[in-house]
Amino acid sequence: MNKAMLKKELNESMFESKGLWMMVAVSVILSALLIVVANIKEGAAMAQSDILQYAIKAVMFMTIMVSMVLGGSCFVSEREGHTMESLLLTPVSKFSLTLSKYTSAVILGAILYLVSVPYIIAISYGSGLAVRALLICLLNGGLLLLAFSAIAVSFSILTDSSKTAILVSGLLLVVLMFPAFAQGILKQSLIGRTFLAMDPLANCFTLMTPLLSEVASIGTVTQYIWPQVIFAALSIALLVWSSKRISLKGEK
Amino acid sequence: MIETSGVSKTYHNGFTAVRELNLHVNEGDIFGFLGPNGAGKTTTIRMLDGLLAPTTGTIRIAGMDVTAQSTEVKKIIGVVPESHGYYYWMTAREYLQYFDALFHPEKSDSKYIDLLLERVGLADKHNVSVGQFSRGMKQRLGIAKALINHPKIIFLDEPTLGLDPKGQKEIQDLLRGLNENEGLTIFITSHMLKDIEVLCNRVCIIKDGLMIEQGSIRELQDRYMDTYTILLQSSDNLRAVKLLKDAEHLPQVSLCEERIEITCPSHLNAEGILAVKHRVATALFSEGLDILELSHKSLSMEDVFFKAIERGEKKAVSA
Repeated sequence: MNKAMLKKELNESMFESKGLWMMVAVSVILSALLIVVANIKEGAAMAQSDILQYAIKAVMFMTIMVSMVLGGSCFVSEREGHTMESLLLTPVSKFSLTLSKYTSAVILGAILYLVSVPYIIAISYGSGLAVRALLICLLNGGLLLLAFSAIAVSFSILTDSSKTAILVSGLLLVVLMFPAFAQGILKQSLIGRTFLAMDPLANCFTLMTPLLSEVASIGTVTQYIWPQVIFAALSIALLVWSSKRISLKGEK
Repeated sequence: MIETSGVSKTYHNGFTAVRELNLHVNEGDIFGFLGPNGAGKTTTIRMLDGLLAPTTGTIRIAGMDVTAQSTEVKKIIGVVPESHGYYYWMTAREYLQYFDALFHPEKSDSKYIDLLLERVGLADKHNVSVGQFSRGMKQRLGIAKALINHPKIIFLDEPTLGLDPKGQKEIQDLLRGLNENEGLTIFITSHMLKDIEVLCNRVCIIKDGLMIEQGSIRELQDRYMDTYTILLQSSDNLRAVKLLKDAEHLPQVSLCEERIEITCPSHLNAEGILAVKHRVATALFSEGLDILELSHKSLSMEDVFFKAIERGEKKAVSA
C-alpha cells in the first residue's frame, strides 16, 4: 500500500468529496433517531432491544452506503479527471493503487462507525446490551464494510462511470437485504431457509434478535459470522482480480 | 536511447493503430513525432511509456525492454500526456510533493521541488491551488511533474495545444533549456509544425499508423525540395536582376521583396548549382555590384509535412 496515495485519498474524501458532510449527515440522522425514540409515543413503547436493532441496521446501512459512494467513485474519478495516466506512469503497482483506495474507503467507513458509537451506547443505556451491540457493529458490520467497499472499488475499476459503479453495488446491497424481509411461507420454505442461512446481510439481521434479547450467548456470533466472512473473502478476491484490469478512459 | 523494431498495435476491436514502426531516437535528441489526427501518435507514446503493450515488435528504452522491465523504465522517463489531468484542490507544491512521494516513498526532496517550481516559473505560485492556474501554467506544472523523478527522457503529447503564442514560446524555451543544459532527450508530438521546426533536430512523420519519413529536418527538407532556389541580396537589386537576365541569360530570376530569387533547373546536381552561383557572383562583381547576402531557399516544416503526407497517400493507393 502506498502511504502518499492513502493520505491523498483520505484528504480528498474528507474535504473534497463531501466526506465530512456525510459524517455530519450521519450524526444528524442518528440524533434524529434518538429524539424519535425518546419523544414519540410509539418509539418509546418499543422494547429497547428492538430500538437497538433498528439503530444498528441504520448505522450499518449508512456506513456501507457512504463507503460505497466513495469507493465507487475512486477510480472512475481518476479516469474522468484524466489523472489516471499520470498515476499509471509511476512505479506504484496497480495492486498498490487499488489497496490504497480501498483502505481509504474502509477507513472512512470505520470513522463513521466510531461516530455512531456514542449513539449506540446512548440507545442501549441501562439495558446492558451496549457491548453486544458494539460487537455486532465491529464484527458483522466490519466484515460487511470490508465486503461492500471491495465490491464498490472493483466496479469503479471495471466500469466507466461512477454512477454505474455505485448503482450496481447499491443494487447488490438491496438484493442481499431482501431475504431478511421474507415472511411467512417463503421464510419457512427450504429455499427461504437456505437463503437466510447463506445471505450475509440476512444472516447478520437474524443474529441480532437472539443476541440483543439475551437469549443467545455472545459466542453465537461465531456461528452466524461465516456467511459474512465468506462474502468478504469473495469480495476481496474480486478486488484483487479487478486490480489487474485497471485501464485508462475508453481503453476498455 | 529509444529503439523500436517492427512495433504494431491492434486493439481488441480489430483496429490497427500502428503498423511496423521502426523508430530510432538518439540520446540528447529533441525528436518530433508528427502526423495528422488519428495517425497513431498517442498510441505510440503510450506504447513507448509502457501503458500499452505492443501487439508485435519490441521497444527498448535506454537498453531496457519496455514490456518486460516496465517498472524500471517508468523510473527513467517523464510523461506529459495530451489530456493531462490535475487535482484542482491541491496547490502546485502539494501536487509535486504527491508525485515525488509516489516515485520516492522513502524520502521527499523538497529542495528539488523548489528547483522545479523555479525552473518552470511557478515559484511565486507554489501555494496557489491548481484550479486557479491558466492553461499555460498547468502545462508548465505538468512538465515539472514529468521531471520529478529526474528522467533521462521526457515524452510530451501536444504540449502547446491550446496555448497562446506567449505560452507556446515559454514551453519551447523551457524544453530547449532542459535539452541544452541537462542533456535531456525529448520526444514530442505536436500539431504545431512551427514548434517542431524550432525545437526538434530529428523528426518522424506517420500517417494511418505507418511511418512515412524519419530523419533530421535538414535531410527531409532536402529530400522534398523539388528545385533549388538561390536567394541573393546585392547592393543594387534592380541592376543585378537586369544584368543576370540579360547578360547571363538566367531566365528564372525574379525580385521578391528585398531579395533576388534564382531558381535553378531541376536537372542540375550540386556541382551544377555551384557553377550557377559562381557565374552569378562573377557577373555581379565584374559590374561593381556587391553581394550582401547569399543563401538558398529551404522548405518549411509545414511544406515537408504536407509533401510527406501526400507521398504517403500515394503509396497507400498504389499498395
